[in-house]
Amino acid sequence: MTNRQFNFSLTVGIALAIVGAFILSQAAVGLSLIALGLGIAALAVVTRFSSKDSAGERAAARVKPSRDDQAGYRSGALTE
Amino acid sequence: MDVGIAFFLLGIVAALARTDIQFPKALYQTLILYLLLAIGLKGGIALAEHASWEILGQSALVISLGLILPLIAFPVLYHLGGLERYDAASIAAHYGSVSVGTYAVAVAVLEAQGIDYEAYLPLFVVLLEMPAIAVGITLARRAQAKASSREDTVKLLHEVFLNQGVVLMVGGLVVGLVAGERVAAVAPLFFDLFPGVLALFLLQMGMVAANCVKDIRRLGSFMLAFGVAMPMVGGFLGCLLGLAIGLSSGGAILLAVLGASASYIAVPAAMQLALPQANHSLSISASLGITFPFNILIGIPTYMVITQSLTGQVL
Repeated sequence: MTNRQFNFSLTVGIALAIVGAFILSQAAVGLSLIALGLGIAALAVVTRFSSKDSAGERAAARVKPSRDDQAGYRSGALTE
Repeated sequence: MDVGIAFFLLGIVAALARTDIQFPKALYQTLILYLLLAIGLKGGIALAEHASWEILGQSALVISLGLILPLIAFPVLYHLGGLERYDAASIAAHYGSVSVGTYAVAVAVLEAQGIDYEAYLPLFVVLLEMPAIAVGITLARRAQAKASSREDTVKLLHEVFLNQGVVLMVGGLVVGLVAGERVAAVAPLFFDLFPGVLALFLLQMGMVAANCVKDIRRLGSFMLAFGVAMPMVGGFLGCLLGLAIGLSSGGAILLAVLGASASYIAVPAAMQLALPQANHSLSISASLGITFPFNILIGIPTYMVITQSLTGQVL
């Protein structure tokens, strides 16, 4: 998820919740909008962090081994 | 709760529970044909009674709404969503056009609550079907150097102006306009049975929407946010326009619903011809899986509340 997608989703979620709060006089409609808005915002946050985590894991997997590690691989010490 | 909405929820529950309900494709097609003709006929009778130059001016402004909506949707999808130009243009065209099913539900809700509206609104449904398709194609082809062949253009124009939705609704309008009171002969079929047929249609649509859940998961939070935000924007603009051109509160609500709804019958067919390289399942999933259920369950009452607060009238 890109920054722009995340910002858009979060903004829409919060805006919906605010609109819902304004029309709480119609309880069912207002509460539905608040729930939907918070749901979208939460989903955006969860997606953002989970994709960051997995991106972090992928990045960690791509980290070049240190000289010592490389030496260990070469000697076969780290393969056992 | 409105009976139609209850049927829609029943369809969702049945699909989520994986109940094996067989809804014949031919019946679904028949229901759509029926709804298009019934709405057209009703509008034609109203036009025969209220035809005036004022409606012509209103129509021009309504067409401008159909041109503006895809121009709002496209930059959001293309620049913020990072979608391909073709996909963004195709989805924008869907959201600029209208859903007859959503309109039919809104009419049923207004009638159930005894809210008056201008009965010639089906004319606006027809007018709003087409402009968004033209805007969507223009937006997509700005990047395309290759000129389309004459045959392609003729095919496309045929799909835009002579698709089943336009032909049946315009046909119904003309028949209603010409026949006037004589339409009473077919009233038991087209008007008395309307709520029951709409309920059946919504049962099927509930199942279709629930089956889109997988696609919605795949689309992610951006498309979910877009599928809810765009109808809210379109609904608000439609409501403002309705009040500005002098429609009643009921008429403004219906124009809000038209601005908020996204096409899933006429535009997909036109876009498949015009932009074959676009991902059409993306547009259909957003339109049917997100926007249609949102409008039916939350959108329509929200537009009623917005209209009420703008006019200061208690509906």
